Order: sequence, then structure tokens, then C-alpha cells
Amino acid sequence: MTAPRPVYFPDPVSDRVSLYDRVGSLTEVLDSLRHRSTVIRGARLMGKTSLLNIVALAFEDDGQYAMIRLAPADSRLAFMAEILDGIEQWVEEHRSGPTRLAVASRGRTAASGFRSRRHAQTEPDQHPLGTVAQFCQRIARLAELASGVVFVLCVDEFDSLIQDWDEHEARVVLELIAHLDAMPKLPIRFLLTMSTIPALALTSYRSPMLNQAKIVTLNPWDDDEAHSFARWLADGRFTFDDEALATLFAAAGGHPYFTKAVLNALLTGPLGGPTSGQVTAAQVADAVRQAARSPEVDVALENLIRVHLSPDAVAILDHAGNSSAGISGRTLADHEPSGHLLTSLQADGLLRRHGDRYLLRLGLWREWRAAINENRVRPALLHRIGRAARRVGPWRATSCMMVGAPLLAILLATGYLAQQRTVPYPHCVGQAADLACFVHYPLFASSGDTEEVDVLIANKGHAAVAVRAQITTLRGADDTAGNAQSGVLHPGAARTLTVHFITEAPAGWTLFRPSHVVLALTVTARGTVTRRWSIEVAPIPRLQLIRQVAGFVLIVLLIPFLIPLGVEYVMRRRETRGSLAGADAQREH
Amino acid sequence: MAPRLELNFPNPVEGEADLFDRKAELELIRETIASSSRRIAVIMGERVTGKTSLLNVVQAWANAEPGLAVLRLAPVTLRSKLIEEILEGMASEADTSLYGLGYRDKSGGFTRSTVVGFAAVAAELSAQAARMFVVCLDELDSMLVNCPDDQSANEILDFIMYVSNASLPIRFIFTLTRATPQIMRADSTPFITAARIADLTPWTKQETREFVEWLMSPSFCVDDAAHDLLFAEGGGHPYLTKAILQRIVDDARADPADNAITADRVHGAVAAALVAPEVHLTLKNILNAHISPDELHILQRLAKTARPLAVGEFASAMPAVNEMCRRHYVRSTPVGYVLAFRLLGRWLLAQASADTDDPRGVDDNTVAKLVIDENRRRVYLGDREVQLSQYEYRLLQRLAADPGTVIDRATLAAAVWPDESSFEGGRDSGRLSQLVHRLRSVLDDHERDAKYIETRRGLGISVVPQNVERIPRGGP
Repeated sequence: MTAPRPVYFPDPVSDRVSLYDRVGSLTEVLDSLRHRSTVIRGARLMGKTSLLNIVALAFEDDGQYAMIRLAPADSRLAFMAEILDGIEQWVEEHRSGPTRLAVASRGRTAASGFRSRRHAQTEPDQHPLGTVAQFCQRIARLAELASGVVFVLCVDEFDSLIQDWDEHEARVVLELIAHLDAMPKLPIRFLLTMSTIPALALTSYRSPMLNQAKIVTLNPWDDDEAHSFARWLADGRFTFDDEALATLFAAAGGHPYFTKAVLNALLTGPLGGPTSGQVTAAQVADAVRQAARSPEVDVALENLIRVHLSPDAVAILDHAGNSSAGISGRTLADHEPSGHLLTSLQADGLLRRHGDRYLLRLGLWREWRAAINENRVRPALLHRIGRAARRVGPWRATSCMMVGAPLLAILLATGYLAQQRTVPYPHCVGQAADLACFVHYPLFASSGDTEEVDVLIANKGHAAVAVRAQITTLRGADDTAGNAQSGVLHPGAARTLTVHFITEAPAGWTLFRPSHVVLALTVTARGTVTRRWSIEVAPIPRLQLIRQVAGFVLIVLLIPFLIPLGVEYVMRRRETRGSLAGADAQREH
Repeated sequence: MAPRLELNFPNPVEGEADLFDRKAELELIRETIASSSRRIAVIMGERVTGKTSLLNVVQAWANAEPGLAVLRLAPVTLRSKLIEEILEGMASEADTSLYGLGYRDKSGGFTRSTVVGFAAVAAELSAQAARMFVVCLDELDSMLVNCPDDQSANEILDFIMYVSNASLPIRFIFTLTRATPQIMRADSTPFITAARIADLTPWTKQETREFVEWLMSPSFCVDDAAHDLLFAEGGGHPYLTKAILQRIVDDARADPADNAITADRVHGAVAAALVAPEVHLTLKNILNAHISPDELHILQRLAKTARPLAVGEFASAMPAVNEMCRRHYVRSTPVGYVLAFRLLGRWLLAQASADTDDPRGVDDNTVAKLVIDENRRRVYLGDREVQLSQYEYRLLQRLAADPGTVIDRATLAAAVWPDESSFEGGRDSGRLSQLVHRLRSVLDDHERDAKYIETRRGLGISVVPQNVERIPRGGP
């Protein structure tokens, strides 16, 4: 009894029998490489590396091609050195290994094995590379040692490599590749995998290498293909009913990786082991939930979000995930140019189009987002504020606002209340001299404290007056003698008389409502007392007090939140506008 | 299983056996290299018209000639690097190296990077090699565009001029898409004025027919209608024609017995070519890097319009139209201008339709132009003819006669109903409003967001001049 087929998850497939249904693509790549360089293009986790592995295996058997996988390099010189080293190493290995030599010489034009020409005995040049011409000569010499062999230089995720370089370096490497590719004498082909086409290639004045390469695109499978794939992967371990297959396709969207993730969850779950059975839709749904919470899927999707999808794209996917009716371009007015974005997400197999609406193709996304929300521990308030401040990006203003806004709020609130507790005393208008009187008293008081009450007296009349203010009644305190204040007020002048008293208030700090303070105000003109008033400082009416406190709370509590929110909103708008402008500029360019 | 027909698409061809009908150009280059006039040979042509293929064939020929050695240079952006690249290539052909000759120090630095130093070393190497060197450089214009500054570009051009005038056994062959400002701005006489230029243009209908037969026979049999359609879609452009044929070859894998190419089959191949990634990326790159916004606008207009566009319909954009004609993207016919490659037009339309999902993509460019052709008394909205009643037509005609001017209701009423002597305020105003409303409905225009007809309360009505075009009676 043979063991069931292994499910390669999450690693790429590395043997031919485990590669499902990329026969067309594999043939295309193998056919194309005989004549020209080739690019395998597909969204993330679509099976590009698996296909590359199988192409390598096919070429190993062929013997006419030498597959050299290049490591990432950080400059053109390093890239050239990698190529040279790779070819040198291959030549050395096949020179010394008789078995491999036999394999290599099985090829159509390599029947005579290595040629012993002028350069055959030449050791690789140890001088540092200075020019592309030198580089090409060395390759030509090495190629003569392995006559008839075509070197297939493979770079996996070439687009990521390009993105890691600065623009100049990336351009010279692209030009080098195009140059080497166009050299008729050099037996070199490039086999690159890419998930996106670098903008540099699209805007290059020089014909990019992509213009003369065959592009083999890997798409997610449609529902029939995905169903067959699932049955093929199950390999007799269990069978699916139709509903289960539909559920599987709705979750994985025909993506090989995610289909395998769900299958893997089924295998490692309660159905694991060699027993066979009918898998139901509910079991697939459970497996989907399990897969969405698996670290492999989590890391894969997190990487997708962090590196390959813009925030707008993520928002669109979330939006599509939350709407069973799907989304249309018109509902996405706040996002980056959504036509291109929707098309690109559709091409990547994350959305699918139904009429004029787009639906989430990768249902696992929804489940994964839900899993994230479940696991999210609500951070402490300060932590949340700090995170919000960090999230709003490079503008430190928000952080400053976070600290400054409460202080500002308290300052404003104090001013607001100070104004409120300055109570005008409208009746304090004398007949002999027009006097205006404002009583200013503190907001809070504690029992037994010595407080100050400022009485502002302004002489609006035409003659100087002498005024004297004294607290005559102060319940619970008897040291009123020292509180008398007096002075002369000239016409148009004003004076603040400060009177002290001892508060009688409930224990602890409380709002001071000085209903019990009585001021005696005496106005003397030309030595004669013309008026005496007994001023009872009016308490603030209850309604007014409530309004004041509400105003205070409003200012103190809302400002620290409203200002950062406002700042964040403005920044978001700027960011969106920036990305829009960038995208527009790119399109225009 | 029979081997697949290899069309060399999208890669350039490498040997003369795969090159179709560029014999005159090939001969011109050979003559230039072989002659004693020391002239520079330039292969000029639009993107993907086969310049690199021709260069490859020239290179293959030169390699086979006993007295010639070919140096295929990589693009560089500094004169010193160009000097090194050439000398290193020459040294290799002379079975030595710059290290061996002592012109490089231990760290690899080149010690003779002046032009005079180059001449001395080149003379030494050519004497040693006893051959003439053919220096091939693909896409010289892009190399100059990528130079860090104009000075570097000028230095390279001056160096090329110096070498081509000196008595060194070196000949240059360049390919160029266009004579860029870097080439034309050179202080000294641009080398292009003295160069022999092999201009690669799209093929005629007959040449295209021969090309297709040459490529596809005997594996396929192409009928006349298919030939016509291939020319209409590909316009005699080698790349676009091959792109369509490649789809047919790919499809033939499913049914190898079906070797008849009919118009229907070409239609299917055109649709498949439109979504082929190679075609998409190539056209996108050409539009991004080689077509200005004005030129793109012209191509888009022609793509949207099924009919030829006359000179008068381009107004101030004629310089861009002429440039597109010169570069063979647009063809002039007796009735107006048309796109030379219908496939390009289809691709542009497909791109535009992908953009329509973008709610903000509706800008001025997406408002279809309203064209009033007074010669034929017809009205077009973009490429669609609009049916108007005689009163609606009169109203539109009167408004378009003074584009942008607010015309009062009495004047408009007199133009629409010339037989009625007076404008009776409210009653006629109501009739006019109804007429304007109907016209707006036909044009899918709205008062609040007017694209064509604007109402100024209390003043009158006007047309939006940038979206309305009038071809007056007796005009083109």
C-alpha cells in the first residue's frame, strides 16, 4: 500500500508528482526558455517558487540547460559576481563529477562534452570585475568549457530584489539583464519570478527586458479546478460532498496555498490520519476557522498586508469582506484610485467580479480578520493613546497635542470659569457718584481656609469719592475687623479692594457658594457719607452652576480627544491625497 | 507531436534566416561599415519595430567576416566607462586584457581614461588584433537619457565623434528610437547629421501579407479576409502582427489539424493578444516612456472615435498629431486621421474601461466631446451620433456659434423659431426652457453639473466651450 500524497504546506512543492495542474504553465516555461528569457508572474503564494523548482528538476534531467539559482545581491557588481560564481561552480562541479558530466553531455549539442579550446585550461580570472565587457568575456570562456549548455539564471522574487535597491542601481541591473539577454553569443537565459511588475520597468525609456521575455502568468484556479485540486490533495484520505467543496472554494478562492492550508487543517484536525470519510461543509468551515488561526496563514496574510497591499487595498478587502452584496467602484470614493486597485486585487485573486460589483474571493481573509479581532487584547488607555499617536505617522504634532491639549483645556476651562464667577453687582450705582461693583471670588473652598474676595469698584462719576468696604457678616468667622478696606477713587479710576474671610464650608474641598458673605460698602464724597450699601454676594443660580460645570467638563474632557482626532483626520486626508497624487503622477508619467 | 512554430515573439531574432524583409536596411549598414567613409551607422525606428533584431543580424554577419570583430557594449552613463568597455572588448579580441597590458592597477582601476589615452591604447590593440572593430550599442538614446547630466551626455557624444573622425579602425553602429534632445543639443555638430540612417517603418499591406505568409507557411493557410484584418489590427507593425499570430500558434496546440486562419480566428487572436501580458506591458511601457500626454490624448481620441477625425477637430493639437503621423502611430487618409494600429486603439479603450470603476477618474478627458458638423448637419457625442429634432439642432447650432458666450433667451428664440416675429416673455420662455431640457436629456447633461449647456439665471444660456466643437459650414 502506497503512502498518500504529501501535502506540501507551507513550503513550496519540490517534486514533479506533487505539483498539481500547472502542466500548461510548465510546458510554456520549458518551451519558452529554449528561445528566450522567461518571467513567471503571479500573485503571492500562487506557486511561482514551486514551478521554479519543477523547472529546475526538468532541466537537470535534460542536461542541455544548467539551472543556476542566484542569491539576492545588493548591487550590479555583486549581481555580476553572483552570476559568475554560479556558472564557475557549475562548470567546476560538472568537470569533476563524471556522473553529472554524463548527464550534461546527454544534451543535443553537448554530445562532445567539454571542448578543449584555448580557454579550456584557463583558470577563472581572479582580477576584480571592472566592466560588463570583462564579465561577458569570462562568461563566454566558461561557456566554452561547457559547450552547448545554456545557463538559465534564476532569480526568485526578482521584483522584491529590485525594490530593495535604489533607483540607479536597480536601473543598471535591469539594463545589464536586458544587455545579457540580447547578446546573441552568450548562452544565457533568465528565469525570473515576480509578483508585481516594477514601476521602473514600466517607465523605463530603454526597452525593459520584460518587453522581450515571455511572461507566464499563474492565476488562481477556478471552482472546477479548485475542486479537482482538493480531491487530488485528499488522495483518498477522505472525500468531499459538493457543499464542502463549495465552502472550500469560497474560503480559499482557488489559491493553492490557502486551499492547502485548509486541507492541512483538515488533516491535522479530527479527520487526520489514514481513515477515510465524507467531509461535510461544516467540517470544512471548522477547518477554515482553524486555518485562519494557524501561524502559517497568519504570517502569510500579515506579510501580504505589510509588504504587498496598500492600506487602501486592505480597506477595500475589509469592506468587501463585510458586505455580502459586494462593493462597487462608486462606494470607494475615499480610497486610492479604485479602478486600478480593484482590477489589481481581482488579478491577484483576492476579489472577484460579479456584474458591476466586486466580491471577496478569498473568504479566509474575513475569517482571519475576525480571528485578529478576537485575539486583540484591549490595551490600557495610555497605551492606546500612545499607539494612536504613533500611528498618525511622522508628524509629532499629535504627540505634542496629546500632552498639550489637556493643559490647554484646563487653562481654557479656568478662564471660562473665572469669567463666570466674576459676578457683576448691578445695583451698585450711587447717585452722587456712578459706581460699578464686581465681586470676584474663588471657585473652590475648603472649610477653615482664608479666602479672598476681590471687589472691583470703579468710579464712573465726575467727582472723587472715598470708598470703604468691609465684610460685616461672615457666619462662622469673627475676625472681620481686619477685613476693612478703604481708599479714594478719582473720576474714571478703579480699584480692587481685597477682603479676607474665613470660609465656613463642609469638610473637604467643595464648590464655594458664598451666599453668606455680606459686604458693607460705604461711599464718601467730600467727607460726607453719601451712600451705604449692604451687598450680599449673590449665589450662582443652580441652573447656571450646572451649565458652568457642564461647560468645564466639556472643555476638559473633549478637547484632548477632539484635537488629536482632528489632526489625525487632516493627516489621513493628506496621506490619501498624497497617495492619490503619487498614483496620478505615476499614471501621467 | 510536430514542433511548435517559432515566431521569435517577443524576443528579437538573432540570425538572418529569421529576419524578414529588411534587406535594404541590412545592405545599407553593411555598406556603411565596409566603406572607407568612416560614417556612423544608425538603425532608427519606433519601439519594438525590429531594431535589435537588425543589429543582431548585422552582428552575426560581422562576426562571420574575417577582418571584423564585433563589440556589443552594455549601456553606460559616463565617458570613462564607455572607454573602458570598448578597450576591454578590444583587448579580449586581441587575446589579451587590460591587466595583461598593464593599463589596470591591482585594484582594477583603469590608468588611461583620457580620450588621447584611449586612442593610444586602441591603436595598440587594433594593431595586435589586426582587425577592424564594429562597436554596437543598442538604444543609444536611452543611454544618453539616463546620463546623470547633460555634460556627461555631451562628453559621450563628443567622444563618439572624436573616434569616428580619428584614424582608428573602429566603426559604430547605434540603434535609436528618436533623436533625443541630448543628441540634438550637442554643442558640436550632432553625429546624427552625418550618420547613415536605416529607418525601420511598419510594412505596407502587401509587405505585411508577405511577412505573414513567410512566418506561417506551410504550417498555416491564411485567407484574404484574415490578411486584411491582420493588417488593419497590426498596421504592418512587426511586433503587433506577431503578437496576434502568436496567439493563433498557441491556440493551435489544442487542435493541430486546424491550420486555416480565417478572419474569425484573427478576431479571437486579437482579443487574446489584448490581454496577453507581453503586449500589455510593452504597450504600457511605450505609452509611459515614449508618448507625451498630448500625444496620448490624440491616440485616445482616435481610439474612441470610429470615424476618421479631420484636421479641424484637433485645433491646437496639430503638432502632436503631426508627430504621431511621423512616428507612424497615426495614419493620414483623405477623409481624416486614423490610428495606424487598431490593436493599439482597442488596448487604449480597454484601459479606459478599466479606469471607469474609479469614481474620480471622470475628468475633462472623459467627457465625450460634442461635435456639431454643420456641413452634414449631424451631431456627434464622442464617437456616437446623436439624433436631434430640428429645433434642438437650431438651438445647439446657435449656442455653438458663440461658444462660451451667454446668449439671451430672445436671441435664442429668434434663432430657433425665426418665423415668429416677437418673443412673448413668459410663454416663449417656457417653450425655450422645455427645449433646453429636452436637449439636455438627449445629451445626458444636467443643469447642476453641466457638461455642455450652462444656464445663467436671468442672463441666458451658453455652451461649455472646452467640451463642444463646431465644424462650420465650408470647414474641413
